[in-house]
Amino acid sequence: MNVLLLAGNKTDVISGLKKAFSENRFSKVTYLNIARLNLITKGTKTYVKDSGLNIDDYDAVYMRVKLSFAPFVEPLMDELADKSIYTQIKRGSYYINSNEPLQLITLSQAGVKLAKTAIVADPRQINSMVDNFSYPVIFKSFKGLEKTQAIVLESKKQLSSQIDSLRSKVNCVVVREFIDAPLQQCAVIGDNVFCIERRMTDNGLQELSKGRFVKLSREEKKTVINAAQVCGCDIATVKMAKGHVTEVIPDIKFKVFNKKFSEDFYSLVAENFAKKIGEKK
Amino acid sequence: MNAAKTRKKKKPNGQLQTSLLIIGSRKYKKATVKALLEEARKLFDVVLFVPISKIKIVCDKGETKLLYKGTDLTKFDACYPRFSINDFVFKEAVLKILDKSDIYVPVSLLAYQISNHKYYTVKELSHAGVPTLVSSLFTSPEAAQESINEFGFPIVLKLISGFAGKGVMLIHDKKELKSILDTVTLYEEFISAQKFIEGVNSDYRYWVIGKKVIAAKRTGKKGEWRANISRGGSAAVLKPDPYMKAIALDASRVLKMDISAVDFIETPTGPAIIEVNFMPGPFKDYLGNEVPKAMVEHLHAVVKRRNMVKGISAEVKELIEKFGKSVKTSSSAE
Repeated sequence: MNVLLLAGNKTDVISGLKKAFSENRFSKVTYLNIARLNLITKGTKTYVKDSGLNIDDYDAVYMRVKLSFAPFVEPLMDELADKSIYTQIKRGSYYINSNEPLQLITLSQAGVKLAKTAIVADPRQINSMVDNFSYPVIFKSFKGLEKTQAIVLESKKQLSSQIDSLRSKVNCVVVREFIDAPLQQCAVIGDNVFCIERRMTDNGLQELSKGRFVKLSREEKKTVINAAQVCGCDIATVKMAKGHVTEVIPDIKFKVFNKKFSEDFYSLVAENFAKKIGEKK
Repeated sequence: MNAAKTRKKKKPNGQLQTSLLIIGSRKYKKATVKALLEEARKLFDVVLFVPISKIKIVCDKGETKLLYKGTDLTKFDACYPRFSINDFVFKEAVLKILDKSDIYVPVSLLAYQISNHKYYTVKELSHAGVPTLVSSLFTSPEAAQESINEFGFPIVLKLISGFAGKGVMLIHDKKELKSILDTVTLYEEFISAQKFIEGVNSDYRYWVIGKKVIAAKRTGKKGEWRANISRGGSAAVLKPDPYMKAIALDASRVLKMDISAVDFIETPTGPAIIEVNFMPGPFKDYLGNEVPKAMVEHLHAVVKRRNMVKGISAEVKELIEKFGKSVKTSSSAE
């Protein structure tokens, strides 16, 4: 089996994955910087080009490219899917996961439990809704896909004040009820789920490395895997509090999870890839 | 949607009321909205224009609602979203909700994402056998070489999210290319490249509205290689060429757009599509209200057809309730 590791700059994570794939029945493991690729469409065919690269040589591609590359990755993923080349993130998912409001709607429509959430283009629309929330709330503003602010607001007065004080132009605002419970940050690799619980401290949310391992109930595990699948990810981080999903990120913090669980998460990924390729054949 | 929850009002003639929602951007060109609303009021019983800035999305207790002044907007029969690519974060969320609701929308979230991406449009159409230009997509100056090898100079570079001719550049040599690419990659833009077709500063716009096609030819002003009217070009109304009409209808079908505008250029091997527009302008100076009228007529025709089906279902249900399950259909009646 052959795998292509497609990413930005080469990092320790890429090196870790490369080693793990090589040790797990993958005879050809290649890293490539996505900036080198060209997609050329001629007639009914599209060619994925980099000098010397033949994409058809690969059974799988591990995609570790930042979400802002969605406009390049999405057409590329079409090609990979058409060639039955496995990726851990499905086509359409870069668009979903790069746009937080779109991700929330996608999760909500799929029946994934979320905290009460309001999304608006004009922040002033929130003024008429301040009485509808239980406080505290989390307030996030976006300019394009970029999050410009994320803060916790304790009262209606603070929320109204926050809206009035927005200085720079924002395109979208998300207000979500804050769930008063520890945040469960889960690494999902196929059907495997590993959870680190992070508590609120006087200095804010505990660092991931200081959180504690928790075993999820069957129901919670199902919620987490479902959330990842709804967002098109076989490998993801799902954040949850009291059974309410707050975010899905199509990547995991390998170093922290490796240390916390004394597991080799790189190997788990490689094994998952091998399993998925086997299922396709 | 549960019929009981969405009990529609009937008109005196027994037909169901029809309702149309138009959602537009904050900086919407008022003339086009005005024309759409004017035409819509002639056919629809209820017409509402909502600026996107006034919409609220609420996710609560497992439900996702699209609200304007407390009204659930998905209860309308049809919605025509007139969205530009600006401020797309919220617009994509709105389209996602419309996609999953019972409301008729002539364009989908996927159509919005693909048609606003110049390369992706060409790729989808090309794969379906619709004539387009050979095109490439890349993100760095290093990768540009493959495109140069493919097309040679001069080359047309397009920022994939540009519109109205903005972000489209004609590059004559390697030095110009390097200078442009260095600037563009500084802003993490994505670049599509195509071969430049010499001696062509005109193109064709074919509006596809359901099965109806309206055509115009655009010519760029002297010295301008792009044909956009917004860049000083002019237009002339045409009778649609049968071949180009067929291609335009095909393109809209491939992208799953019931309303679109397909832009072509002439090449040595025949007409080729260069882009498909999600939010086509109506060329009012040349076509008057013809395009908005056709759009509204299409929306109304679809709603009427859907209402007929709903109406029949409601009538059958009433008969069953009245006479029980022994109601015979015409095929089994003696």
